[in-house]
Amino acid sequence: MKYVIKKITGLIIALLIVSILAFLAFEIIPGDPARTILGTEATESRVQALREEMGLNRPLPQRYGQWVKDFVTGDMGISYFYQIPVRDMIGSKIPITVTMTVMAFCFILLLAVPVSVLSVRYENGWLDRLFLILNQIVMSVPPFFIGIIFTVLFGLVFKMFTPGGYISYTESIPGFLGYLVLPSLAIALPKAAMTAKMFRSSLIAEMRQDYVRTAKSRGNSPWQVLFKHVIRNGILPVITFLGMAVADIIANSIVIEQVFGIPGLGRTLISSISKRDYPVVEAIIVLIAVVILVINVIVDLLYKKLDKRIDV
Amino acid sequence: MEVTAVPEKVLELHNVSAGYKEGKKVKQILKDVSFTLYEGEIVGLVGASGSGKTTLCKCILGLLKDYEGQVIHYANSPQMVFQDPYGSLNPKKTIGWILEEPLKVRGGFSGQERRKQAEEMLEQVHLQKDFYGRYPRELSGGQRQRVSIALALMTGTKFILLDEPLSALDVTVQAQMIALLKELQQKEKITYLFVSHDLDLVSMLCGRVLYVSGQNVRWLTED
Repeated sequence: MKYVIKKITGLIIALLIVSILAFLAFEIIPGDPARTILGTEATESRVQALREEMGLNRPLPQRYGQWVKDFVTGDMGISYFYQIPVRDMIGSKIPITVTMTVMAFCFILLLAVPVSVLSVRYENGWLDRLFLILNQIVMSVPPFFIGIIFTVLFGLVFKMFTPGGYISYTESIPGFLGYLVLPSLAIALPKAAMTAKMFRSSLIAEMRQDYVRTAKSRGNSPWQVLFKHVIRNGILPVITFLGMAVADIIANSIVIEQVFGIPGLGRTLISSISKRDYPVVEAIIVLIAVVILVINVIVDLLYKKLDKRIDV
Repeated sequence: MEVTAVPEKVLELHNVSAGYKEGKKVKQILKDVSFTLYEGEIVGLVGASGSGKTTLCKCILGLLKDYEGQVIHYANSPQMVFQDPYGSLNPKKTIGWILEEPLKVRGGFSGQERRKQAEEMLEQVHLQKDFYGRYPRELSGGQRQRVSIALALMTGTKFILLDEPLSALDVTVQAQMIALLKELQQKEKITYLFVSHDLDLVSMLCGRVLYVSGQNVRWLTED
């Protein structure tokens, strides 16, 4: 319990730091939101009046405090550009990005675990060598390029989906999930290759341990040795890696959304940055930080459950 | 491999030759090795580092498949106790789980029977029953080596290879382990092949000593 409290305290502190940085960054960057909204032709008095109305003339700590207070209660502010609540703007987009991230994460596990286990079971055999070559190729290709290949191959050549024909989850859940399969796979493939490589090395290191040799001599079959003894011991470094990979998955989903024309948080983030719509950008940054930090806390707790030596 | 039921013999090696591939060449480690081990004896296996002791052990354990000659086991498959008491037990499993595993692999034992046998085996190696629920990390080096011996015995084997089992332990614990090994040898008629660099220890503990050198193995005490 002490460990959980320690981790959650760390999470809150990290979130506060991220929120301060996100808030300060847009104070330092040159440019006046009021002028951006009113345009370069607007008079100084109109700009000043809008600044007053938006609360931009209040001291920075006061504005930050108000922003945090509102954010915690679910009020993420008003979009400078669209003049609508940020919550309404990004609320419908969160499920899209989250679904894509979760799907990509599942694909990483579904691909990396069997590949690495088979590689270790048939170490130095033809299957292992084939996986090593494929891994090396796949991990060197960036997700956006895999996305482009998928769009051309499955969209234009095989006509398995319509590029840009995104189906909203409000229209059809199966259609929505079906459309996200290829983008998620594009994000997952390079990370799955890296995970498989790491998991293979970790499992092979475990296979060299004395307890594995004794397990073999006790009559366990090679599969029993792998599943009963080796995997649980070899998975710890991979869990840490996957925790860190979540940030990468989210970062890649921002790019992939552009390739597949998916109206997720990434597209909103990029368009908001170009429009200097700071409340939207700040909200998305903090939300992404929440997701990454929460997943990392889950990873730490999982790690502790698997390796009871870790304590406060 | 032909197995003949001759009770007093535990292991017989006939003209065993083994080596490793180094690129396209084969590096010969052992050549025409022959010897016999009998029930209830402690045999030392000595030799310099790289002389082929481990290769010989691997041939005996069946871990090395690519060798010439015959390795004949007259008892159950041999078990090995390793030098490193920290790496030889699965860190994620309790001592009870580890000790019960050979019975699970063999099958035909209820959970209660397995537990009873595991607890009895703990007592046989002079550990308390409550070690059953502990993890290897909670045990000292000497206690782990006792568990390793108990684990070997749980398979029902009468032949144990001990690969420098005392070198990671302090002198007091070494003395206790020697006493335990001798006790088990007398009570259970266990045969030990004791691999060591410590000639004093080998001469004190072992009735006969095998010396590995220059691809050959010969009896030291018989010469």
